[in-house]
Amino acid sequence: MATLNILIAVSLSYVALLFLVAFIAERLAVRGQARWLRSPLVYTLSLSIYCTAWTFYGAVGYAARSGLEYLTIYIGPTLVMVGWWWALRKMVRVGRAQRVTSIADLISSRYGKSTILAVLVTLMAVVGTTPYIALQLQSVTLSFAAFAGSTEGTPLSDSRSTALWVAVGLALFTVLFGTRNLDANERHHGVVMAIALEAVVKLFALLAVGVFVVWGLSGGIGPMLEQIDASEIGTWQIEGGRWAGLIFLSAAAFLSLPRMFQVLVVENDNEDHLKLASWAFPTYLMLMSLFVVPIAVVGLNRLPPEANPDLFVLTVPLSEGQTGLAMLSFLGGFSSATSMVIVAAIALSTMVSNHIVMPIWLRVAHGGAMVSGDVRNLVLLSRRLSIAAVLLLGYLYYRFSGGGAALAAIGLVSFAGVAQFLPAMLGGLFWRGATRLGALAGLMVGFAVWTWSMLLPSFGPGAILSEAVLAQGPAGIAWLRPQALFGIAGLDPLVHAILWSISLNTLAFVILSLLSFPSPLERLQGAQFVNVFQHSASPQSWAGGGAQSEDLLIMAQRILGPREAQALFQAEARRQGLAGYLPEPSPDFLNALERELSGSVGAATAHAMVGQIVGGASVSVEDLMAVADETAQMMEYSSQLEAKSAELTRTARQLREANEKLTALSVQKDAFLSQISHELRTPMTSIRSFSEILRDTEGLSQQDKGKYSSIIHDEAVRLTRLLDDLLDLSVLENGQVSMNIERGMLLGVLDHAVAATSGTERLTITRETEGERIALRTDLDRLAQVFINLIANAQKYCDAEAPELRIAVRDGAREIAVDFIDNGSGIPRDKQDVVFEKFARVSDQKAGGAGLGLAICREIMLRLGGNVAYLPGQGGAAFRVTLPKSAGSVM
Amino acid sequence: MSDLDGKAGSKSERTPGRAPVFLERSTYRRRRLIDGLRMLPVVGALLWAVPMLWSETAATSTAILYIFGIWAGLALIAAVMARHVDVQAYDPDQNSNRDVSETDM
Repeated sequence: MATLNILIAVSLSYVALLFLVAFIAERLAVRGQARWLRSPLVYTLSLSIYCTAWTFYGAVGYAARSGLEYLTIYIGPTLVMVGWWWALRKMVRVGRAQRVTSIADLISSRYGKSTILAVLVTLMAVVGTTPYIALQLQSVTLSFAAFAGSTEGTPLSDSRSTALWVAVGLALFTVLFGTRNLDANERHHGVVMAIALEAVVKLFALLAVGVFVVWGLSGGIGPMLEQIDASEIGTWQIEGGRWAGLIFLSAAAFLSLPRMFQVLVVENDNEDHLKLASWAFPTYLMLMSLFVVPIAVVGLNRLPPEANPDLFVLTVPLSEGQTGLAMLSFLGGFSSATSMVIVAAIALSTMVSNHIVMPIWLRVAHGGAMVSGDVRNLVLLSRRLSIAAVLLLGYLYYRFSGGGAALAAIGLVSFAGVAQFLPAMLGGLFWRGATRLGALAGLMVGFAVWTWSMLLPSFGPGAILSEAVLAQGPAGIAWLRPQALFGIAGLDPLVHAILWSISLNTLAFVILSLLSFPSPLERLQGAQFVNVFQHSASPQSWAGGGAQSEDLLIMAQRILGPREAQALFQAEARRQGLAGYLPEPSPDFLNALERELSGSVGAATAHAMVGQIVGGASVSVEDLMAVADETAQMMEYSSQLEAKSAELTRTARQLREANEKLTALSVQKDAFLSQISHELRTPMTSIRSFSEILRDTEGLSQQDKGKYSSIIHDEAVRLTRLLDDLLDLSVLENGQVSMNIERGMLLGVLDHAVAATSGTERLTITRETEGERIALRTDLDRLAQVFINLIANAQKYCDAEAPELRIAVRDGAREIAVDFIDNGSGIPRDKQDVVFEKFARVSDQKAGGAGLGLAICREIMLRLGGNVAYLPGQGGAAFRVTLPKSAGSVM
Repeated sequence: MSDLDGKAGSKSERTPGRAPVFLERSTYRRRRLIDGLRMLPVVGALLWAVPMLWSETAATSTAILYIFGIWAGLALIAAVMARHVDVQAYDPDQNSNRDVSETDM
């Protein structure tokens, strides 16, 4: 009894150690000091959950029964690991890029986020894994019983209670460390660390037993090999089909077992870890299997024939009195069993909770706004319940299958079951043409064939399938015999089941994929999976599509409260330019919503919640189009900006020009003022001085008086004229003048002008009156004013000996040109530009006027729709007056 | 431009050891290393398939030596290859999946 108590104490302290390790690891991870926790070595060790109690104990039993065939179970994974560049690397990349949480998630998201697929895979995984968990419970129970029985001679009163306690303990551990966080990528540092420790323990235990057996009992390698050859498994008795089939099966199972997927893909946080694992894990497997045959041979030789070969690892040291070694061995087996159950329970509970419980809850629990935090609890609760349920299922399976030999076979049955995921998974990773229908069909066909040809017969004849069905097929249909499908008998049952289930699975998958047409989302997901190396290197954010805004609103209301949720949705809808409460579920919005939700329920839950409603949708065509639109909009916006900037530049230039003009005008105004004061002062000075003379000088002669008075009068007239001109100009310039449009002949206007200026006879005017008979419709008086001014100028400034003015009229197509050309010296070139400016005078010596005449002329002509310009190169001063032909277009 | 390219090409052909050639060489090595990585499981599978041909008279001890010998060899080669391969730098599957047309819909 003392030994048993010690065993119990050791087991309990070992369990306590595991709890402690997991706890510390979680603590470190929370503090961010978990770098060494995520080393490639820990990753490699965590893969060792592949070696369950079935391999720890069962491999020796397997070897004792079938020789080296047990190696196939390790060779398959070795090939997969060594060939990591083919499949594993891609799986890990996809898993990281798509935030995959389980194998069900991977398959469902590859095929357009299909919920049906997720549910199907989850159910299949549960069915395939439950017996396996039962197997672990059995192995722990058996080893415990063996220990107790061999030391005390009496078996434990109730081995079932051991199994129950183990199940409860495992459930507790898994719930504590497996559902601690709802991390987006479902990583569990504590669990992984504990598993790594257990990996070391079980390897060390098996090696210790092996070393003891080889060197302690058999006297070294040479004698050991001789002993092996001499034993009943001393020759190669393996059928080629089984050898190849089992290698394939174990390789397939290695990739598709939910628990392996969990540690390989989900818990992986760096692809580089694969590099170490690619050779270290095969080495681990090699070491695990190295001493299996020696232990089996020694067990067969030394132990009584009725001893269970499945427990040789334990019973050989015990029979040799090595209790300490046996205890280590027990711990190794215990580690193998517990680590497998923990990870399997986590993987299954994640799948069950994410793909079955949550969708059902979201569908059923529609009514009532729930308080915040509610959903987080719900997810955790559903995980925990799922873990408990999975373990309970395992326990019940163990309980009702009654343990024993039937259960030992379940390992391979389970492998073959989960291997059915392989075609859909690999097909999805490497073949763009794989479709949801194909995957569904493949999985269902494979699962059905597996159930019929492997699972049901595994319970033994008469258990579920009657002997008659096994022998003759259902209802006597021979080609449906479970172990001889299509009437082909003689195959090894295992090879038969693997061959038909996998090949029919693949066939259905391929044919339906070829025949069906995938949805856009499926095709995009397919492209993202198959071309994962070209596409994404980082976890992607939400990109909505399938989501219904209303569902999102309902969910958000439950978590955030109705008012906040509605406000959030309304604001977003307004931002998108929509009325009401339902915005388009754009990627931006989904991200924002997820962030908002994570404030209440944590990031992972929010991600999961949005994922549930979005159907985990990643990208849809609409999104791509939206992205394209966005790009287009940005380009448009930027071109708008460019246009605006160009416009601004233009405006600035205009402003600068305007400013320059204003400055120039200001200068001009100053000049004008000084000019006008000067112009006004000159006559005023004359008037003042002569009026002073008239007033103050006594005895002025009448003649002088008359002379002075006429000077004053002349100056006053000049002043008046100047003021008239100024007034005239200002009126013209301000556009306040109204034109008096009349009909008339150009001839008449010119006659009037010439007559008005004929006071002096000095100027000879030459005209061609025939050409002047042109009808006009304009302000004749104003036009005459211009002509008079031009003729007067010629009179005043023409410096020729015999001044002569030629008036030439030219009737053009569009306009009438009237040229006034004199025979003087003309206007110097540098003055030509300024003669039309106010107060511009060509020379000072002939200060006949104020210099406003031409300015007025130009204003008048502009008003009349024509122009007056200096015409150079005519031999004298020449001005051309142009009038529009219609001559009526007065502004 | 084309002239420049032509010169660079001929130079690299004539004088191996210059920097650009070195780069090409390392890329080439990397590609071949990955070819090797891809081949490794195939080789392993073929070698491990040999026992299927054995007759029933083959001794278990010989079988153990053969199978475990392959095992150790594979692990060793895989370790050497893994040491030199760069998972992140290589963006692969260059010949497959070039068909982009399927994404257009």
